[in-house]
Amino acid sequence: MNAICALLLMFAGGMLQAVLPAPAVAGQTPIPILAALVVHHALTRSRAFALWVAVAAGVVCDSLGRVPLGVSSAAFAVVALLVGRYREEVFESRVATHAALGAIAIPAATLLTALLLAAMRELSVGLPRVLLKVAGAAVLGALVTPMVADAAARFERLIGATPEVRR
Amino acid sequence: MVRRGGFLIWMVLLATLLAIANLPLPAARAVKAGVREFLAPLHALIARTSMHVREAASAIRGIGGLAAENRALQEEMLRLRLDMQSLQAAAAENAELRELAGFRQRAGQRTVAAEVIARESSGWWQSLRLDRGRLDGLRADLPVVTPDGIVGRITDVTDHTADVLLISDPSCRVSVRIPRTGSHGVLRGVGMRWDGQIVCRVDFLHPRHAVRPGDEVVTSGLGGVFPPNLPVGTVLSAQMDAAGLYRRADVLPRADLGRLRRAFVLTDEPLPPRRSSRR
Repeated sequence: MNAICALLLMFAGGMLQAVLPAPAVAGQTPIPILAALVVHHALTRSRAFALWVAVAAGVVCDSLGRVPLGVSSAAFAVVALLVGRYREEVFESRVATHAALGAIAIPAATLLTALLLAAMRELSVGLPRVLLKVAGAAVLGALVTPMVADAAARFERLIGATPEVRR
Repeated sequence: MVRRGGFLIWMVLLATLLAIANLPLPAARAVKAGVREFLAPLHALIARTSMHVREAASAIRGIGGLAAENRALQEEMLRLRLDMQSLQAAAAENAELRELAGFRQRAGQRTVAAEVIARESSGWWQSLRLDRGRLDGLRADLPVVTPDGIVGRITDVTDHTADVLLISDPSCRVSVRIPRTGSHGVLRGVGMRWDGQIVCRVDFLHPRHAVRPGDEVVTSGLGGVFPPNLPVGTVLSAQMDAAGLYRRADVLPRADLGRLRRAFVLTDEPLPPRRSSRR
């Protein structure tokens, strides 16, 4: 049930991410719904499951754009590991925890994606644009992650998917 | 035991990532096409729903009854503009030379109307997705235009979708001409500015040809993708290259690339015998 729920969330997230406009002030960084879902799973599921979700979310993200397959999977896997590493050190407020982790992990994924694309000679934008995107990802990550995590948790409760034992 | 489990997770993750990254190109394309095809009907549904909502809002404001007519008129206007451009070009240029150069007349070109159903989801490229694909006779490298000006070229197609690389993307190059001076240059995208305005740049313009703000920029027909004399944009500013070798100009595209909802693909091919049953 957890896997089906995660897959449904990923496809819905990917679809929304491709449809919602990317704000120009954030360097046209797309609304990071898939990355926020990875953060949510890294906070509420086992490390192995979160990594599986990260890889699958990366495949969905890359399939909907021109990024070579595997790049976003690697970036999202780093997000899952980063969040998994610090998930015990949380704020009292759940929203603040999601916002803080989103503001750290999602720009890290953006930067890693840029580095991987640059290494593959696929990056066509300059350093200022990359930095703007990373800053935009931090702001959007802080804003979007709590909302996405809340919506995902409601959906999981609705279809009866229960969080696994956190290890 | 926990340490061994952690090591196993790392190894499986690494192996999975390497396997995905090293998929043969046909397999990677098949995976991408599968996900796009799966989500395309939902994207189309969202795009159409939002369009209907906008049209309904227009109707409430008293002009909505014209929405369908407006769509038909846009198509008609595109055809007429193409015809007009073709006639102007014919009058201005020597017909015999054009024939010798192998340029094709655009008057008889078929246009495929398509709706924008999604935009690039990673944000690293300026591209969008149309709701028409291989089954509608589309293929890579076909030009995409609006009645206002060129939009970009198709880079990838699935059965029901086509990805378009916009002229605002830095990796998109279009051979252009400034009719007033006769200068030729190469247009490339510089992305979206901080204020949200999409601007392109034309490099390699003749250094002695003075380009002025407001000058029209049209396609030159060289390069093999865009037919000649399609409107591209207007010059915002022009300056000499730092080395003084050529002139460059910032150009404002005529097509509203940021808010594009509908576009037309130019193709010479006849209508395919089989149309998609999904649409």
